[in-house]
Amino acid sequence: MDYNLRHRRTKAIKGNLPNMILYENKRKKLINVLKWGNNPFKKFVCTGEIREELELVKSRKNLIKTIKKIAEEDNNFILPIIGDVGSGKTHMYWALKNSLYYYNTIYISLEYVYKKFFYNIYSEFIENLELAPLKFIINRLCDEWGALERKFGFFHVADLEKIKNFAFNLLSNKYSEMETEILTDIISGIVVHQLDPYKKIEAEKWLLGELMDAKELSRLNISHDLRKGKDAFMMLRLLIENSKSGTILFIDDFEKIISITEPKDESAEEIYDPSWLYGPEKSPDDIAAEKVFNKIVQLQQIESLRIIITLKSIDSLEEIKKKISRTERGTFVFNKRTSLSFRF
Amino acid sequence: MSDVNGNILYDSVKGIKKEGEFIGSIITRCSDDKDSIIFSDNLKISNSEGIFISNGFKVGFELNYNKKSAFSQKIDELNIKDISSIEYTILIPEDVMQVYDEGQFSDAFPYTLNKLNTAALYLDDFEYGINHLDFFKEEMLRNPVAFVGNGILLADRVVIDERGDPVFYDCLIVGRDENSNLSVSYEPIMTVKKSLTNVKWIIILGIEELKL
Repeated sequence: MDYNLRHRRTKAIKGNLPNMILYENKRKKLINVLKWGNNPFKKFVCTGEIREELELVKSRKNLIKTIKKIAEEDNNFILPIIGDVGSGKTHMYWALKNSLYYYNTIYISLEYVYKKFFYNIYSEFIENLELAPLKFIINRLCDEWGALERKFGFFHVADLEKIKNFAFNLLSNKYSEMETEILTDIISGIVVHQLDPYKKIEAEKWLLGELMDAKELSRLNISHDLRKGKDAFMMLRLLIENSKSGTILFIDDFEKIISITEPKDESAEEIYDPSWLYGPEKSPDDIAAEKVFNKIVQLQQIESLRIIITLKSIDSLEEIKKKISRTERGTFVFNKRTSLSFRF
Repeated sequence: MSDVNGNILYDSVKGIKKEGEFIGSIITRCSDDKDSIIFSDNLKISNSEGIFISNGFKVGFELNYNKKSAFSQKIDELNIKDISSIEYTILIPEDVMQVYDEGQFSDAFPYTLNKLNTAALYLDDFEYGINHLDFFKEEMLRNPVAFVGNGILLADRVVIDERGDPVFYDCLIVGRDENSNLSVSYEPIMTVKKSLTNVKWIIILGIEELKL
């Protein structure tokens, strides 16, 4: 009886083994927890979520001026800002946001937008932009697509199908690489929101990136809500390119991407080998990091989107450059100045 | 009051007739038994072919089984060879149309009634008279067209006040002055006392029929 019980228990433990990761390297494990888990020190440092009204000290104000100048001269760039931990890179985000009145400055922390990258950036963008300017942009888009045409010479009764067809022809020429379904969804959502008062509530939910059920989507004649990455990307692109104010995306602690892809410590003994599931070439972290990289490269297609990334060292920048050269999609277009050093 | 001398395309009373093709906001008043009005965005006048309208919207009254009712219909193409059935055709100046556009309420404004089909709100007729003004008292209706005195009144909305009188908002008025000259004017508000003025009819245009 005893033997049978012990035998069954051993069998159960063995059966569970492939799902367990055991780290012998405790230090590394702790660093990983601090990096991706609930970091207890977060409450004591500047973050992108809690607004800071304090200005930069005099000696650093030139940095803001330089960034302003770069943003005015160049529409599309990635500007790395390099500075040690605690040197004030995140604090500078708030100083930038407070001083760049004519730009939508959005803070992105990679650990929060890691999954559903475009959707999360879209949500941040909408939250930052606020509803009135958002409505202004899509109103202007609809006007350009023919919403102001007077039917029979007098009546502003929009012919939705005509407007949608016009918009589709216009956008499919401009964004020829985009799938037809995505363009159709985006156009339907915008046109219905502006011109169909009976479906405005559903269309506004869609526009704000809310979760929608099949019935609501079918009323709008849309296949997916904006949680589908490519829809969110296209919408983001359309809004940024048609916004009168420029957009600055501030990606904090960018080297978190490198640290995910760092070669594994060979001394760590792992009972579970990820290659069983993901193949010998790439770990799940590699795949995830590559995906994020590719998405950031895609962001560069958006006209008048300026990207600022913060890094802790020049080595990280070099590492990123190497990493980029290994990725499948294109290259990063760094600003001519290459980087702003933030070391004091 | 806007200077419209250059915008009168045809006037049977003053003997004006301009040949050519015209594009914009055009109102044509017919002198048929239906009292009809045609709204269109293009019109051609020629000596040989008469008046040609494509993609217009005709509004008026018709007699159906001893009952008069308002009608509206889309006109794909209409060729009027006998131009004596037209009283006048006028192109509304663009600056007046701009002001008219600016005064319009958004479709999303919640307290307005949109009628889906075109219907008569008021008809001053001894035999077939219609009066729904009391029914819509203190309500706001979209897209009214009225025949007041000798003029056509197209407004964005009409409110029936507590006395049952219609108050038109954001109005385009086309009519004749004391010298029978045609004129166009824009009024932000126009109160019409049906007891004092000659209100011939008021029609509310159906939103679904405008979409056709």
